[in-house]
Amino acid sequence: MNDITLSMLISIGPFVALLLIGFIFGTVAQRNHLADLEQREAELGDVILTTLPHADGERGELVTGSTVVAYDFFRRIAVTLRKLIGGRFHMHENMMMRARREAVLRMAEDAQGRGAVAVHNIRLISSNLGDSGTAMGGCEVLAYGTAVWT
Amino acid sequence: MTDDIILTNMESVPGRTIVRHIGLAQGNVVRAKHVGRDIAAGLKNIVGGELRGYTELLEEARRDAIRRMTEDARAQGANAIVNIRLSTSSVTSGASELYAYGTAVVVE
Repeated sequence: MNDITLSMLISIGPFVALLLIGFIFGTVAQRNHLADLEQREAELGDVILTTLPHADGERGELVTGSTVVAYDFFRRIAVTLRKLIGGRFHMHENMMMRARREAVLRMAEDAQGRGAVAVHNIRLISSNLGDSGTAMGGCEVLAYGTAVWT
Repeated sequence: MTDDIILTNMESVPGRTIVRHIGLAQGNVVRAKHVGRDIAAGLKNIVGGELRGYTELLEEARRDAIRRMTEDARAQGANAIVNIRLSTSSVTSGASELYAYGTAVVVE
């Protein structure tokens, strides 16, 4: 091994290592999260979730659920490259939908834990933290609605 | 959240009748990220997933914004807030504003 290849290895080594770590941990985390979501959604049972603005009930109360998600290193680089050619950002779509499911689930679990039968008028909003566009500091998803007791 | 003022994001309060509309009630909080949490989040940025520190930080801040809105409503003589909306925006890099607003009303 000559000096040039060695110095190249040293300079791009950490980058490649981060890419690998990001890819492996990110993929595992994603798979675990999806399995976790499936399970909790099945356990949630029969809480009614709607976006309807009016509902009958004895009493209502605001409930919220939120999460901040971020890309792993590999996917952040992949997205940066994807920006050069444009098109659909499948990874970003998947991440945002997972975050939304998580936020809705947390809200619904909170409502159910307090004995509510439904959550109405659900709104979902998301905002970028930190550097805009890169999702460097993460992206926040918030779900809120009115838990209703009958 | 406070237990004496009813909060809902619907246009009416379930099980109650609105007798009087008072007006806008609002509350905001601007929170900057925290160095300790930033470092943890920085590491998390390599492996991806949820940034739990930020989730908690924003949740606390949102609770504060809602409390300020509730205090605003109480000061105006309301006992409920309807049609509440929540929003988040980053004001400068590294700081987020959480804003809660709704219509203060009197219910029976």
